[in-house]
Amino acid sequence: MDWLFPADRLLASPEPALALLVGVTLGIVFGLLPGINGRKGIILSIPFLAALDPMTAVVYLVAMHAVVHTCGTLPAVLIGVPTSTSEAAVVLDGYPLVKQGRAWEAIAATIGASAFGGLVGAVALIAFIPIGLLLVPHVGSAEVMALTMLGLLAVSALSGTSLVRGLIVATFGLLAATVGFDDLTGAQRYTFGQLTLAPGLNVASVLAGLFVIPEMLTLRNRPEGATGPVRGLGMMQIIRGMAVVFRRFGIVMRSSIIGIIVGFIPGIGSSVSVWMAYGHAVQTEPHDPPFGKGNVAGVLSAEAANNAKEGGSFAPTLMFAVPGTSGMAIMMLAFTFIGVDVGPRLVTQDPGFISMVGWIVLIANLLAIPVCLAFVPTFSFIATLKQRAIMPVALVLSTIAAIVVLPNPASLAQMAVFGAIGVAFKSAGWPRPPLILGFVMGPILESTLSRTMAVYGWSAIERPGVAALLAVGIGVLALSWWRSRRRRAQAEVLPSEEIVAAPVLAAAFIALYGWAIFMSRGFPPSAQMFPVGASLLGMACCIVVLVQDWRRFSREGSKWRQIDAGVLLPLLGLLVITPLTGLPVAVVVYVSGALIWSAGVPARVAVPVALVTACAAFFLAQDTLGLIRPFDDAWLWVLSLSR
Amino acid sequence: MTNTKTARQSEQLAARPGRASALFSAVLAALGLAILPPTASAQEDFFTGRTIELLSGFSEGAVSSQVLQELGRTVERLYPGTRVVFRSNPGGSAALTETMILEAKPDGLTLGTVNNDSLIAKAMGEQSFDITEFDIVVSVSTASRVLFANPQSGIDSVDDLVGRSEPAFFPVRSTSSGMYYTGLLTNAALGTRIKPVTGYGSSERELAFMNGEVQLAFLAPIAAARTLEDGTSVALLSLIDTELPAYLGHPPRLSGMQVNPEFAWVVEFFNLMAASSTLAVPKGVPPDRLEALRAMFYAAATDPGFVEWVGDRLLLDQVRGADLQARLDEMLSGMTSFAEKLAHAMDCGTQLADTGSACSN
Repeated sequence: MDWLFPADRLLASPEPALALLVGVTLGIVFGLLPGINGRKGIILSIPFLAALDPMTAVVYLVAMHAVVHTCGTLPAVLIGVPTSTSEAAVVLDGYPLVKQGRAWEAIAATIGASAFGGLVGAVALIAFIPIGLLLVPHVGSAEVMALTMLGLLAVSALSGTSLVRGLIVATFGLLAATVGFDDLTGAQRYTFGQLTLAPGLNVASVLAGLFVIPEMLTLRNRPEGATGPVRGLGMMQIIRGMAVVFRRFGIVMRSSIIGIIVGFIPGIGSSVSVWMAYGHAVQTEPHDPPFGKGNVAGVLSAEAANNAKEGGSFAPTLMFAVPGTSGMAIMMLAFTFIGVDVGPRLVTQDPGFISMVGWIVLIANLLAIPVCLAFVPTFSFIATLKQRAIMPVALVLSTIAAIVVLPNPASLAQMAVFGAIGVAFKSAGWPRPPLILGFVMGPILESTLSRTMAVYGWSAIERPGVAALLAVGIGVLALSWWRSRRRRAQAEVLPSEEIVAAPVLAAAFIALYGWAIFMSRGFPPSAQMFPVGASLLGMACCIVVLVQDWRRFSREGSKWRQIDAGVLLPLLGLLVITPLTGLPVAVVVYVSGALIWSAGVPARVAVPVALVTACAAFFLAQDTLGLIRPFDDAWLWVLSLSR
Repeated sequence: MTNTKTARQSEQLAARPGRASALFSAVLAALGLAILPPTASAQEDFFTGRTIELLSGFSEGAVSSQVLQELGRTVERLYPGTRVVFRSNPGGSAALTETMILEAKPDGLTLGTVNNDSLIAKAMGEQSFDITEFDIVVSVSTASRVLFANPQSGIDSVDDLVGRSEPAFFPVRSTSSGMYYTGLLTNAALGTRIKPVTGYGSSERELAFMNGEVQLAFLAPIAAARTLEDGTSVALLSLIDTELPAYLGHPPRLSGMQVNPEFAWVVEFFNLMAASSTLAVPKGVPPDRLEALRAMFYAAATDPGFVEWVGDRLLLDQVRGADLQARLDEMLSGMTSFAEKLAHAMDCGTQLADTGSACSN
């Protein structure tokens, strides 16, 4: 049992300890910076690894990657801008807490749950070594497919007021994921010959459009009191607040276990565990307040799973040389670079190495707590800002995240389109998270479905793992049905801001799905199946909603949330100016204008803030060709209009 | 003092004709250089101070992408002042990257990976462009193309793949990927019953092979070496004649086996298609600039530091772009008949995979 406590490796010299400290600090910094994450952190570090001895390099890499998520979601929570699909789950309840003047609670819950999840993930990695070899080989394409379906179903059913509406949104996400080259056939789907659509829709644009723009455009509808300034946060207040992890121990532990289990399974994607944990919280925790309105259990569950999965994802990477996530793929490469050969041999011949990795993750998560707390003054400052003052900067950061991925006006156009969709969903009371999950998991579902049918056919249902997951799925459906029945029995009245769902939206989606089916007739047969299947399911759900809401629509008419023109116009201006002038100039113009005009900030404050934001935009985007100068052909297009 | 000044002035006056003639000669030389065609080194100077965009059709975490990134860094080291920016664009089995290369300006500043298999896709009518629309810069490696079997499947030799009652599943990414065609062409050549199954990325492929979901696979060199040593894989067959490193075992070669005479051409075809990590530019780059680019990247690919860095990650097999281009041109000189041969072989391979019965001529 010497492998359980590999102290000789970690304590043989001071270099590993120093590497641990540096890794934790850099990991937290990378996590806080928008657009940079663990994966990029590893890539940036690879050239320097050759200068380190292998042990020190391993300690640094693992420590850095283990803590990227520890407080990396906090900027997103404080300003309401998720830059990844995992963050979107935390922002759902974290941001409302901030708006209610309870930012200390959001910060404490985030740091506490994140650290706890990381610790549990580390312990699981060490403890699972003996059974890891038994577990993972039984997970095949059919199990991954069933788990993906379950995740989609859970989020659709539990993140809103209606399973059917959730399914419509999820199927729209699945359909959106088919845009671009089909990985199974190489055929182009819904690209209309546009190269900018060939890689698929820009996920950062979709996120920004769906979650940031609707919040901005509907600021006018929120009473000023709810967005009033928050008093400064105290360190002790936050430390005391972290005790919520122990007061809500059940949901935090269960969410950590979900994160670990899903993290163990390669190819499932990192955001699935977060959303499944969130769905589980919705299923089991009291709805006081409702989820999505500042329920701390939503923050605890998402954060615990988000960090616990890191420990879980190390297992297939180390034990089978099969990376569970894209971050682990880079990690594995880095291991190879420094001469560490991962795989099954590691379990039988050198289990101490896996145990050592677990210990590094554990210690790193413990060290991350004081490092995160050191950023509290910065968080405190952000939390005291008015929403109208934060939003322009938040939008710029989202825009940067979007066009760093695809430096092209198409990114901005996609942001605008999904912004409109997000406003429509928000106004109609349709949930937005299922769209993101459908979008992210669509490719996984399509490929695993194809593999499962080719290898197992319908006999896949007889596999124990698949049968168990299907049973859970039926349970989720039953719970959703029971909740909706209870809601009708109690004559629940929707809160005033939940606008009556207009059947106009359902009718529009029926047309959209019909168009998608019509356009798919030009695809190869095997490339048609998934978009047609998703469209048919979505269409059926739309018809149900149309029938359900027609009576209410006939009685009350359609109501839509008012859009704040004072926010919309500058936003449109940003989208138009950026291709013509490049990002930094557009940022200066937009941020200073929005702060002065919309938020009433004095010019002597607004202009320096705009300049600092523009510098940040330049710094983050400088490595991306074409981002800091006008986009190619933008002026040519403008000039061509005048001819 | 005056005499010194006068002497100095006299010296300066005496030096003027020499300086004047030197200046005149320099001007003549400059004019001459401007008139003369630019040399290769002059074209390498073209890349000094410029940024070359290197596009990879592999995912960011793939070994091939990492190797290409290192190649870019080696170019920067060997040619100071030249910057290489790497960008990964996986999608459609690298078809996205190929599209981006074709859309780029033919100025030599954008190059990327091209999939030799797009040649097959073009011949099969499944893609609108093919490798003949590119100018090849360099090929860095060879795909190992060693077929491995999971011992649990009961397949110990190629003979076990012939006449099977059930197909042996073989994981591939898509129907336009090289592995897909390789599986079916192997069926045609040897009468085996290999059934490609789409939807597997590289890590999913290895896991599916390990847990027995699929019976066959091409494995990356590191995974191959590990599984051979563990006894969790058996090297059945090498589809190419490239000398393999010792850690990949000594599987029999396709060229040494009894192949259906009608499909004997498949053997040479596999050898040609094995060139991997092939970098190309769109047609239209000025010839001397293309040659300079080829020289730069071949120098980087053969640089000792780069070779040492790659190690066992990939099977290095550096081929000059001009040489590979010539071999391809020769093979494609009869494109129409080649497409027909290929289509027929694919049909026979598919029939064998689905039903186990051979084509009737």
